[in-house]
Amino acid sequence: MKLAIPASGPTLDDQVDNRFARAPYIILINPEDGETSSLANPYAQEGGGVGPRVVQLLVQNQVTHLIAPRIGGHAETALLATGITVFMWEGSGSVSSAIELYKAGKLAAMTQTS
Amino acid sequence: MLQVAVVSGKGGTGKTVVTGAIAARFSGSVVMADCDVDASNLALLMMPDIIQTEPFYGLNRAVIDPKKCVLCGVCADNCRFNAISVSEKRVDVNQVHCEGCGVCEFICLAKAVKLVPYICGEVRSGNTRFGPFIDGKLNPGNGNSGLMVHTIRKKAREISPDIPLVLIDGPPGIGCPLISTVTGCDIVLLVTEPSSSGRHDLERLVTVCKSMRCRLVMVINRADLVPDGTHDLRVFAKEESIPILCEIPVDPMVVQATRAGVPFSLSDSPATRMIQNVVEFIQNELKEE
Amino acid sequence: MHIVIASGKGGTGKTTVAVNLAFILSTEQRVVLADCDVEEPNLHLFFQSQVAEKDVTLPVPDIEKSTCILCGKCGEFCRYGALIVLNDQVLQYPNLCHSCGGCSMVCPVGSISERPEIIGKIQVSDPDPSLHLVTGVLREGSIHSPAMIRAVRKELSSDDLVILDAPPGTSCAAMEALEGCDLCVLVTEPTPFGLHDLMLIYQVVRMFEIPVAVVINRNDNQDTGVESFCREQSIPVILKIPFDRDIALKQGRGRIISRDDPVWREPFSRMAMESLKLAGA
Repeated sequence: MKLAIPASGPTLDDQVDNRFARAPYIILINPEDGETSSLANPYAQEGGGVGPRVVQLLVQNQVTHLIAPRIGGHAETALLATGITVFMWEGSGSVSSAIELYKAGKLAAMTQTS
Repeated sequence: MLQVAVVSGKGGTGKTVVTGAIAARFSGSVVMADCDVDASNLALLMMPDIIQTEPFYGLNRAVIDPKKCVLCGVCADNCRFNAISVSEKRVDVNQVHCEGCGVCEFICLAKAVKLVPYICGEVRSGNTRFGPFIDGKLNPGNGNSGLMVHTIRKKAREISPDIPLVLIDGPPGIGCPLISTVTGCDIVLLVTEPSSSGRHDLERLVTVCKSMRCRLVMVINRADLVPDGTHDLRVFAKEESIPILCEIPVDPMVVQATRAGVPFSLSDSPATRMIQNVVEFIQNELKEE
Repeated sequence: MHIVIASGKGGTGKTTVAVNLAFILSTEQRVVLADCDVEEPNLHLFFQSQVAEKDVTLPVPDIEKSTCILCGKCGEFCRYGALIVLNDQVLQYPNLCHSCGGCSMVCPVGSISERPEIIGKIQVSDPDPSLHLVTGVLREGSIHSPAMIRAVRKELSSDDLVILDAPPGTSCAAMEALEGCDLCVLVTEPTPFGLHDLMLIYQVVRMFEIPVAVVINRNDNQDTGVESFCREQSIPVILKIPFDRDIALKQGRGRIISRDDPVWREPFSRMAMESLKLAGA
């Protein structure tokens, strides 16, 4: 599996960004072996329609799970079509703290009705 | 955090004046956001001290390198926005028409076209005596007002997260900026007036807002100007199950206060007494949050 | 000859001016009245008659699933997020599409053609033998106001005397209505808001090098900012409409004041003559 988290910087110590598609970085983690990498989000500063494009980027990077804050309508339909499992992120904290919460099973998964 | 958007469909119904009057009554517990980026007038009423001005980037724009360009004109032929003109000596991109699609860049064999970031306005933030204030100005002729609205609203939510109320002065119309303004708002306050055009525009606005599942409430401004028009608005509101919070009469105090650059609700007048109903409605909503 | 009625701020009385100018001119000659305020068109409320309608469409991609190889080139190309390529399908968002045609160009297997997507409609009517009305109506929920206005303007001939009602503001949509006109009549009101927005739109009109005239609506002689600005910039003020409950009432009921109130015929006639002169007739 591969978990993606939008972040304000490229490291695990950076904050989870409270924007999904316009976060400057996306951190990719394999929670099983702990391997991490980061992607600079090429759409962070772009005009409209970035939500679906970031979803496409996740698919290209074989992402299977995502931790994200409130997600726009277009990105949401795209995520549902990909089958990526989305976990809701509320509040604030570092990327590593988000991973801990995920591992502890404390993040709620987004369902189609929510 | 309660987000309230004030919108009208038709322009000039008194959206900004009503927004200012409400904001003044929530002094210290409101963030104001002017999302009417074509004609941002809330600042003329709330007189903010601007502390920060940031450039706003829209879609990228095409730029042609005259050194590489061979004047073949293929870019112009394939541009759907008529943004490229070719003369014997040079190829020009009209920055107003260009929508940054990148077709010209793709099709150019000489690799003379580049898409570059383009500043198309600015977003300003500051303080008023009533609370934090954000607005934006799009350079004339630029699109992307929807994106700017999105930027302003995000800033408004982030500037003072402890403040419970974000009050948004919305754009006229029902297009892209309006849709960005009401998306995700808790309450949409419709400011309308009793005229046939006001009514017509209101109906279209209500269609758009309802399709976005917004919770609607209404204020009728200048309600005594066309009595039968006001009656029709009441009937319409009832049919659509939209509560009317108040009917504001024509009140010379409103114009006087606006000219002086102060919200009218700071002094007592018939209009102020009416706006009190809106204030109480929002107070109740805040309690329930 | 094209005369466009515009304003920086909404609700200043643009429609009132367009309606009355068109009515007065139509008593002398054939006039085409074009409603380019496509998000909130109102002119038809004043000239009700039988309308003919047609749809306005924009081309959006139509993907042939059987030949698509999911290579991702189209999704990579589209700046607007209007189509994205997933592992097993191409997902489309026609309402984000700008109709640039790029996706069909980059598709290596020719799987993308285009189909029309409705963004609104054009209504035409002849409320009077000498008055032809063209109205653009943007579909609720569409973001394509500029394209809608381009479609309205395609219906207009440069040989006709055309009065255009522009959308308020200085956005790209307003530009579409202003460009190429022979005169721009700016309608404003004597308040700080009115002046501020007048200054903004005046900048734009100057950019297009179109002659400008101003109409001051709801005039109560209490504010001199707008008039001083016009004097400084040498902009002719061709009409002042007072703030008057009776006018507001008639206007609010969809009446044409220059037709129904003899007092108003004369000022609007003078304004019409002045406009034609400024437009170079």
